Formats: sequence, structure tokens, C-alpha cells
Amino acid sequence: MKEVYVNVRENIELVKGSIHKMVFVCPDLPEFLPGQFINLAVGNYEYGALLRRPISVFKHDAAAKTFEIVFEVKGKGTKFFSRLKGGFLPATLFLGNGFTIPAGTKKVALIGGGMGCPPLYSVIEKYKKEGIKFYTYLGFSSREKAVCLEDFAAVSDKLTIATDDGSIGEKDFITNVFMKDVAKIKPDLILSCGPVPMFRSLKALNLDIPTYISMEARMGCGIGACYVCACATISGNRRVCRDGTVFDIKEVLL
Amino acid sequence: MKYYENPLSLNLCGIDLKNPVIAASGTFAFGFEFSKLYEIEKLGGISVKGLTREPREGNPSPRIAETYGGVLNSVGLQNPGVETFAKNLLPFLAPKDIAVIANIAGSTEEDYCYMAERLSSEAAVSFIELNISCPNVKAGGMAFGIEPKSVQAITKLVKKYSKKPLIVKLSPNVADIALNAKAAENAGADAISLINTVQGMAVNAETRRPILKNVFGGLSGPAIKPIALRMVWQVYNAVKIPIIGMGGIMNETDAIEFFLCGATAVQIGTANLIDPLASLKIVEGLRHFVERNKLKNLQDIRGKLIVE
Ligand SMILES: Cc1cc2nc3c(=O)[nH]c(=O)nc-3n(C[C@H](O)[C@H](O)[C@H](O)COP(=O)(O)OP(=O)(O)OC[C@H]3O[C@@H](n4cnc5c(N)ncnc54)[C@H](O)[C@@H]3O)c2cc1C
Ligand SMILES: Cc1cc2nc3c(=O)[nH]c(=O)nc-3n(C[C@H](O)[C@H](O)[C@H](O)COP(=O)(O)O)c2cc1C
Ligand code: FES
Repeated sequence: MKEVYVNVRENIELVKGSIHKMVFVCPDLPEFLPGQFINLAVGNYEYGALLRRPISVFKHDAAAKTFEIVFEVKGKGTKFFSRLKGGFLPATLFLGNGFTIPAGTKKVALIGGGMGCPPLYSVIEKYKKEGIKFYTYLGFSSREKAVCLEDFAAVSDKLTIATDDGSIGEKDFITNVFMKDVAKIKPDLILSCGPVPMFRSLKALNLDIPTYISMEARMGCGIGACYVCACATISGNRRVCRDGTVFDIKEVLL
Repeated sequence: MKYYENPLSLNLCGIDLKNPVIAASGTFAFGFEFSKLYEIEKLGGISVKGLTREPREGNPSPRIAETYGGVLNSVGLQNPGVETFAKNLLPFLAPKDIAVIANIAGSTEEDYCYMAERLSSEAAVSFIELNISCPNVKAGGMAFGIEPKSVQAITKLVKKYSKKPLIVKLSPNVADIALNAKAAENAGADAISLINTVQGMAVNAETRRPILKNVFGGLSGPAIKPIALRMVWQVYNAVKIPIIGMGGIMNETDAIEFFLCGATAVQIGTANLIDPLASLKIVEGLRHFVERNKLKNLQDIRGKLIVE
């Protein structure tokens, strides 16, 4: 965990007026675990957007000292990020416990929903060389918002897509699509990132497979010091930013 | 450097601090996380997350909202309880050269007395900060902090159980802050800290719902600085005991404004969330300030506001 300035190298509009990919350079790039996030300042904290914005990492390249994020424009902060053409932003990186894959794991199912899809890429990026097979299931609202598909197609052993309107892939919830395949692929582990309703559906599948989910919460510090990012679990309120963001699905009260 | 040779040093209620910059309760947990980003011993002190007699889970999420120039929070005193603090968390701070302020909140007089006595037995605790101003929970003691009479009563009682200097942390959500400060002073408070957060709320116009699950929260950050400065100045003109000022301090200039209004030390809260290095930068900034102004000690500007 480090406080640094990140330099905007590229800012690419993936979906007009909505989803952007940003590439950062940082000479002082700390170690990274897949699924970790950054707490990115909205400029030099102009009043009106005081708090930093938590955004997950999409790709990470230790050798090139670069990393990428993918974000959707929602309000003040993300609008500000979307307009950047260069320059430096203060940021704390890398935060959260990240996804870990235990030794001996052979097949992993990745289940993403919406803007929860891109962070799953960093899992494959890190573990691919260990010979693990990745079955990737990505759900989006429509074809228009289905980003990073080529990236996932290039590294996944199998990529399956679903959309709410059927404009690409199956017209169904991604968890239902996954359920149809699960007996066939028999994954040892499920890793998931996306909205809470998707986690609820995932939990409802009642699979006897270890499942870990990356939670979201409104944050302050992002490092574990302010206790604002509570997530209710069977062992009480935990800090999403520090005790998570990744939790065992059995522990979270969804 | 001996404290008296250090132009930022001060003596607060008989305890030497290397500088007057203290991390405010609730924004710095128990120091562990920030120690991964910088040497927290560079700060004068740390006021730990508000402690209660028993562990507390706090309020449901969302517990934070961003407002113009400020932050609303409704954490509701989530903390591991006074015993876990003393046994598991204090040992991390104990060997460090940093003043530890134990911030305590209760729902009964008995809770406050118990915690004051329990924490007085810990050598690593330098001060006890009586939080009678948390707006987010009934157990936060704000009930004790509104009327001057009850401020006086609780201060007097807890003072009997506290063997450490007792700081009384005042709420801004009151009729006359000077009266409350005088009440604390009369009851034996060793210092006053102010301000805690200002009660507020935020609404999402789209969903027609309050942003905080708790509906109300406490406002902090730059938006409340003018209120805090006004109150510190009023209290400075009403009491003789030292004042620890806080509320929206983002940089050393803000801190200096508080010293001019009579603060002996300052606490930095929300700024730690906005820039995790903020407290450290403020120490550095104050060092440059004393050099530039050739002050022997920063305390020389305390209360030197010129009102014409
Ligand atoms: C760990 C984590 C990782 C995330 N990763 C991504 C990502 O990779 N890509 C992406 O597009 N989005 C991601 N998000 C969501 C992203 O943080 C919000 O969309 C963003 O903060 C909205 O900011 P804004 O200023 O545009 O919106 P505003 O509505 O103006 O924000 C106001 C405040 O609410 C907070 N807020 C609003 N929505 C959310 C939300 N969904 N989660 C947390 N805080 C929120 C903001 O941070 C800010 O403090 C992530 C959130 C978390 C907690
Ligand atoms: C997230 C958060 C949690 C807080 N928790 C506490 C607390 O436990 N006890 C307390 O006395 N004050 C608490 N406060 C209040 C601060 O210590 C401080 O009085 C207030 O925020 C004003 O200072 P600032 O504007 O620099 O933040 C909290 C403030 C914030 C933002
Ligand atoms: S955001 Fe501060 S503890 Fe998680």
C-alpha cells in the first residue's frame, strides 16, 4: 500500500459518453494482487468532490510500471476522470485483500456482472501461467455496454456472455447461464465481482463449490481507518476496504 | 531534539508533545493502517476511534455521503470495545513516541466512569477525551453534551475516575458553546476539544431517499471550518484551560487560523480521508511557517487574532 501520483497515459472512450478505459504509469508501482482496487483522487480534491473514488484494477504490468482501470461515468468524480487527457492524480494503491487461488486449483469459474467484469481479468493475468483453466461468464445489460470482451476471449478457456436484452450472448441472467454449465465444467472455485443482486442469485444456486465475491461499499479512507465501508457478515460488520473486498459468499449477509 | 528546543513543541496539561498536530478520532482508527503509509510518530498525537464499554457494530451502510465541501458520516461508533483496545490494539501504539488520546463514548454515566478508570490504568494512554458529542448514536453521549448542566455533571463525575488529563470534546449542536465550555472547565476538565461533527442529512433526488441509511449524519470537512473557528474563538474568550481545535483543517494555513483563534493544538479528521498524508504535510507546513516567521515557538501566535 502506497500513496503515489499516477500519470494518465491514455484515456480511451470504450462506450460513448459512458465507459472509459484509463492507462496509468507509475514509476513507484507497488505490488499487486488480482481484484485489488485504487482510491483515486478527483484532481487535487477540488471542493465538491472531496472523497476519493474506489476503482478496481483491470490490467497490471509490473515490468512496464503501468496499470489500467475501466470505469463507467456516474457522477462528478467519474465525469472528471473521463475528461482527463493526461496529468497526474494522487492515489492510494493497491487496496483490499484481492482474490487468491489456492495451490492445486485446476478449474476456476469467473462470474462478472457489468462493471464488475473488468477486475476479473487481473485474476487470469496473474494465474494463467500456472496452468489453471478459466471459464469466464460475463453478464451485461446490453451489447452496447459489453466491454473488454476481446481481452477476456484471448485469455479465457471458455467465454460465455449473457445480456438482459439478448443483444449479445444469451438473453438471461449470467448466473442462470452458468448454472446450466456447472455440472459439465465442474470448477474447483468460483470468483465473482458485480452487483449484489447477482451475488444473491449466485448464493441461491446453492452450489457446493468454494465461492468468493468482491463487495462494494461507499468508502472514505479506503485503507481501513474510518469504518465507513461496513458490510454485514455472519461475524458482524467488516470493513469492505480492508477485511475485503473479497469475502466468502457464505459469510456475507446479502 | 529536546522538546523545548523544538519550535513546534508544546506542553499540553503537563504532557510534552513534539508538535500540535493530532489525528482526530474516527479518521485514523488505532494508527495501524496509516503506519503503513508513513511514520505516524511524526505526529504529536493520535485520538483513537471512539471507544465504548462493549464492542459496537455501528449503523447500517451506507454510512458516508459527500456534500459540497464536506462529508457526512453515520458510522455510529463501530469499535472493538475498551478491553480489546487495551489488550490488542494499544500495544501497537505503546512503544511509539506519540501521545495517545483515548476517546470514550457511553450511554450511561457508569459506562464513562468505568472506561475512564480502566484506561487510566494504561501507561500508554496519555489523555482521556470525553466524547459527549457523537451525533450518530444514542450511546454517543450527545445527550450529555447539549445542556451546560449535564456537561458539568458528567465532567465532574468522570474527572473523579480519570487519573489522566481529561479533555472534554464538545458538540457544535448546542445553543451557546461558551457556556458548555465554561461548564466543563468549572467541573474540572483539563482541556476542551472542539468541534465534533455538525448534524446534517443528504438526499438523493433521483431515488427520493436519504443517502445515509441512518438518515442523519455528522458533517465534517472544510464546510464546517467557519463554524469551528467561530466556536474556538468564543471558547478561548471564555475559559483558561487549553483548547484543541478541529473542524475542516485541510492544510497548515487552516491550522494556523485555529492557533490564532486560541487553539493550543489541532486535530485533523476528514483531511486524512481526502489525502492520507494530510496530517504529515501539516506538520511539515507548520515547520516552514515557524522558520519563515522566525518564531521561537509556534505557541507564540496562540490567540493572537487581531480584532479591530
Ligand atoms: C472496491 C470498489 C471498486 C470499484 N471498481 C469500479 C470499477 O472498476 N469501475 C467502475 O466503473 N466503478 C467501480 N466502482 C464504483 C465506483 O467507485 C463509483 O461508480 C464511483 O465512486 C462513482 O463516483 P462519482 O463521483 O462518479 O459519482 P457520485 O454519485 O457523484 O459519487 C458520490 C459519492 O458516492 C460514492 N459512490 C457512488 N457510487 C458508488 C458505488 N457504486 N460504490 C462505491 N461508492 C460509490 C462516490 O465514491 C462518492 O464518494 C467500485 C467501487 C468500489 C467500492
Ligand atoms: C468517519 C468519521 C468518524 C468519526 N468518529 C468519531 C469518533 O469515534 N469519536 C469522536 O469523538 N469524533 C469522531 N469524528 C469526529 C472527528 O473527530 C472530528 O471532530 C470532526 O470530523 C471534525 O473535524 P474534521 O472536519 O477535521 O473532520 C468522526 C469523524 C468522521 C469523519
Ligand atoms: S473506507 Fe475507511 S475503513 Fe473502509
